[in-house]
Amino acid sequence: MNVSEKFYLGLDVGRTIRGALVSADGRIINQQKVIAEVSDPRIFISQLIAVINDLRRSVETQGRAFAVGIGWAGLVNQSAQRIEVMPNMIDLSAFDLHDEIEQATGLPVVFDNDANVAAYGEWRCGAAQGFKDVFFISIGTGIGAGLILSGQLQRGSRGFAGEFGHFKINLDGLECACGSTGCLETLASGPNIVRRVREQLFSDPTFSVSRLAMDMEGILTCERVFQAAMERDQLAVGVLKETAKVLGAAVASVINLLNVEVIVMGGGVMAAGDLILRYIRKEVQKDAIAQAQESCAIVMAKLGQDAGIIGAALLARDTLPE
Amino acid sequence: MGKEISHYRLEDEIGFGGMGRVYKAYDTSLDRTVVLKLLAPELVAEAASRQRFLREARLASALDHQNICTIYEIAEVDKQYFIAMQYLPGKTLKKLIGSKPFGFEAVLSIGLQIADALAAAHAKGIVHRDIKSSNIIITPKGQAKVLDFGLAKLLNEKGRATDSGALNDDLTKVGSPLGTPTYMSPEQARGERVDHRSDIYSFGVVLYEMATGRLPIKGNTTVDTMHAVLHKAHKPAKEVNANLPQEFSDLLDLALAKKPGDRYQSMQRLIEDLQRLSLSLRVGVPDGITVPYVSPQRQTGGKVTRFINRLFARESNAETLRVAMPVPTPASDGRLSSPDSTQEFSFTSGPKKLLAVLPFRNLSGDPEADFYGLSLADSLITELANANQIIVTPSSRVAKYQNQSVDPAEVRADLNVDVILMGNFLKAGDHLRVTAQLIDAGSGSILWSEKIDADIKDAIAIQDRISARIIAGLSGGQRAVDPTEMLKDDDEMIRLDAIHTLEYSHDPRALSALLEALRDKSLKVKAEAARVIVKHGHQATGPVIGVLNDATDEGDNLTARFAAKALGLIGDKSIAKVLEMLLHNDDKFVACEAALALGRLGETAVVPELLKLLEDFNGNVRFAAAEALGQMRDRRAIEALKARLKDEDEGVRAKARWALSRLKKVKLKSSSTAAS
Ligand SMILES: [Zn+2]
Repeated sequence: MNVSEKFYLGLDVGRTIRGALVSADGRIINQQKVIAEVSDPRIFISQLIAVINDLRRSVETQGRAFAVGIGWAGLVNQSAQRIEVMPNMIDLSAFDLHDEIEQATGLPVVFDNDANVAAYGEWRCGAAQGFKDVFFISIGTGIGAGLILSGQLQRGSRGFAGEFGHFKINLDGLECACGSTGCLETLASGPNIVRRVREQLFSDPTFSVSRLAMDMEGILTCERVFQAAMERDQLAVGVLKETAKVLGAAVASVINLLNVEVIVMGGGVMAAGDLILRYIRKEVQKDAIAQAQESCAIVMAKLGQDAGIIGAALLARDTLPE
Repeated sequence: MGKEISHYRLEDEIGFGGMGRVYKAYDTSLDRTVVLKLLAPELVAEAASRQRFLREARLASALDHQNICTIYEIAEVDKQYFIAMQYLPGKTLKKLIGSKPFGFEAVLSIGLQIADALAAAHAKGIVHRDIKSSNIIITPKGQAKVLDFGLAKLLNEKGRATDSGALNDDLTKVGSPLGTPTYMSPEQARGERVDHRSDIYSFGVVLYEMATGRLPIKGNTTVDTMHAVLHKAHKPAKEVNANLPQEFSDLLDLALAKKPGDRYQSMQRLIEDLQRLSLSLRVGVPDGITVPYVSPQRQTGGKVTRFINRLFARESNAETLRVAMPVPTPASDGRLSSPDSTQEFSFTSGPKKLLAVLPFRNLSGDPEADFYGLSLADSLITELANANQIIVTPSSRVAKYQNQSVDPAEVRADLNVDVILMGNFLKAGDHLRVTAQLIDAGSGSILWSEKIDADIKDAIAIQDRISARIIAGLSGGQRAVDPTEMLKDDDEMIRLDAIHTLEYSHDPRALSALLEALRDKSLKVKAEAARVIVKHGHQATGPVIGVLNDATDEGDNLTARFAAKALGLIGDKSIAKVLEMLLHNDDKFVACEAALALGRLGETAVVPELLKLLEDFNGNVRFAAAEALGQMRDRRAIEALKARLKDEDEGVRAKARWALSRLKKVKLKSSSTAAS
């Protein structure tokens, strides 16, 4: 092994804490995953520090990890490097985490929003490599996005840019956790897709004979819905097309607004199959300005679940002094 | 004696029948005398039938009506099931009648009370199934009380629980319905599914018995009687008791019709006719007996019209088309006017009729076939323009109705026509299937309906042929089409079409036909029927609950679901109690529909029930409970909903989050992304 090779640590923090030791060219050397303990901030913080320390002390890399990047499933105040909100998880607003982690590990640390670091990962060594104007969308439990314009990650004045999930799609839609109504997330996030499948069954008992409906007595997941759609289950296909319709409309708006070169679609929901991507492309074709969409590719993310950890590590590589 | 069961002390044994032993007993906790029925163990031996029995009986016990014997409790102690009910001093109607007719006032007074009790039960979906004079108690004050709601089914199900034979004809006599088929409707005697109209028949028998002192149909043996019920006509009551008004005798004929479709379709209608009779014949009703107030105008209103129509309908000849039309009011002496004065509807005589031929609807799902819809209508308009006695609305005025779902009443208002020809077509390859219907624009009844299959190659010839058949149909003067017949067609399209027509029909058979369609094997037909039934509102609730109960019993979950769906959408506060019971239905989907409906109604009394359902093992149930709780915005649900944010099912999580957002209206600020 090349003794001069440099390594970086990347963390993706949500209900699961994922961490990885990443080479300077974006390869994952070693990784860890723990379930976040959200009942007590102190335990939670010690979990984070333990993950970082375990990874940097691993045999292959001893002493050659240079910096830490962390992507948070929440709002990160970029200039203050503080976590403002981690919705439905844990209240960290009273802690200076940035300082604590630097103290405990002796490494420079950078914080960012989890969608931003995932976008960064896909841009640096994933599906958007080589582009300058990129919009990355992550659809999972929530919907987030990261924006790169002219080769710069854009965060907005306080770091809250890219809240794509809270695009208002429906003027009198459902209540959203953000306090507004009719947000994209209330229709197209993973859990809300499953919710709509369940509602569809109730609003039309004709679907009682659908194979998917049989499963609904138990646990239903987005993966199962997509699989059923692939098998041409009418209930699943219907909901999937509806979902593509709203996502397509939102994506078309982004294209019209920003004229990006590429839209990268990732996150757990997209990982469940590219059937939905095909539907989304069709919808965008109908909705976006022709000239803008002709020059814009809509592609599937490449790094999958690893986009966040790789992106966080590379963000640390590129923004922190050694 | 002195034996005790639960908090009841048994006193005298006062009966023994198919259902078990019956005691007069004393409720030591509430200090009152009750009647206690101990159910024979074999009746409730099977878990499934026990469940059903309890469900039905509890539903029935929710009936709170002055003419229904109150059920206090249905419970079980050491595997002994028992029913505690109101103790009523008095005699059975059977005993009071003996074999002598009542005076007509008494017939009306007691009849109206029983009818009112039945109407109330039917409105909640409860069919008695064993109405007979020995199941009705008359108290010394002259109040009628109907016994054993919800219990007869147990006997029917268990088959032939037999009479002990040594029954005293006392208030607690519990006969076995299958031993005495005299009161049974023909459909019940055949062992077919019964609905509230079966009760209407049995009630007719009781009325007949009171009015004549005799049973309308009687045989020497059970088999004889069964046969007579099915095949023999009863003697008109007036021939037995000449003192009876003719109208009353006619009313009995309607109640005792062999086919359910020919009978009164609802108890309410029968009540209206009884009330009208009591007023028009100036029959006084004794004090102390509740007869709902009837305003004098009712004598001449629409109900009378319908009554007359029904009477006349039986005499109409097949040569002319007869449609429900405004009918002259009864003469001032209260007697009904003669049939001659009804208007007739025919294309072969009388003033010219205005006809609109609407573009045929394209059911092919292929927009290129739309062309046939307009051209078919067009060629028909041209053809029919030459026919005598018809004025056809020009094509230009009907084009806007292309591929629309049409309400005949709106078309009438818009185009000012008497009749509408509408239809649809399905093109598959070279094959064309056309259905056409002639609709009375005023009543929405189907006057004529036909399906035509043809090959597409010779388009002109098809149009000619269809025109010819339609003209033949228009002038042929067939009788109005029975929607129930159309719903029996093998072709799903025809059945769907029938439902669409029934949607706007004022035909009194419409609701019954739709309820039958709810049981159709096609899911599409079920769905359409459910949708249209909802439009009937309250009057549909009772019968729909009936369908739901039958379907649950038969294990027909799909029908039960569509019925529950319809019920939930009709959902008004008055059936909250029923919905609450459905929360425990065997079919979880039905339980879900009940929860959703209660949520929409904001029935917060059921919050504790819903909180339990929020923990159910079935994902659909948790989901529906979360939805209902979110609708209700009841703060008791907050903690339980928070726990659902960690539900294994993603949909339940999303629903719980939504519910909490509604409940708290707290700004959580934004969340961000991805699957983590
Ligand atoms: Zn939002």
